[in-house]
Amino acid sequence: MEVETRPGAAELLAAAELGDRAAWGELVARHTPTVWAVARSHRLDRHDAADVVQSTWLSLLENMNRIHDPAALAAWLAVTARRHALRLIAARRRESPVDEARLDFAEVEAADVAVLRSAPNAALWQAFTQLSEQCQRVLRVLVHAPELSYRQVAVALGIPIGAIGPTRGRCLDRLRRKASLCGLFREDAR
Amino acid sequence: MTHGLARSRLPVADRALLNQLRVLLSGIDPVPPAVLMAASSLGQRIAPHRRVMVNTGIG
Repeated sequence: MEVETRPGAAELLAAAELGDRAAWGELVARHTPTVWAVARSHRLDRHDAADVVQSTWLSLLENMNRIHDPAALAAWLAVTARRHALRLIAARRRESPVDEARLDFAEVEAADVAVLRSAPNAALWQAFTQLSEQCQRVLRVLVHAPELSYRQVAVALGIPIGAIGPTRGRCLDRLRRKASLCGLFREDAR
Repeated sequence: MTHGLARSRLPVADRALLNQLRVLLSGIDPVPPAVLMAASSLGQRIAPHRRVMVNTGIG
């Protein structure tokens, strides 16, 4: 059994607060994929998602001494990213009320990506893009932030807490079924 | 149940599927290096302030 030897969020946060840039960098490296996934799960394009990431880390910088439970840092970042994403979406709506073009980001940007040259990955991606939007949002966050609880995922995505467990199971089943149709798994492989 | 980890109690096959999906999504929609660098560079804003506090304490 592997023993976790890397410093925890509490240690890193304490060190960063004292000016340890390496600790800050480690926090950024560890948690930015979660922040990015939350931003992208709100249908933001890459440029807007980048703004959300920057605003979220800036918020942490300004509130480091107010984090009462450093162990829940991933959840704090996810919820803060959601707030920034919603704020940005509201601002964009004021600028341009009919801006649906940005919704198809996944299909457009995935058009020529190295990872899709592998047949199993291409099949899985095809299956993933056929899932409902809610399934895609939940799975995007789950894969990057395994440390989040149901409640934290629910808050980060604005989905009822009771829906997370069933949604997770249903989405994984659908993903497996669709991927099977694309030739990735056998249905009886579970 | 609502306090459990969202990825806990998953069958091994589902966990493997999520891991495969994580690799896929990281490849398709990676965090741009410039975004990581920008967030990382925010750390420079902490150090001078804290150093002043530490120096003041020693002096």
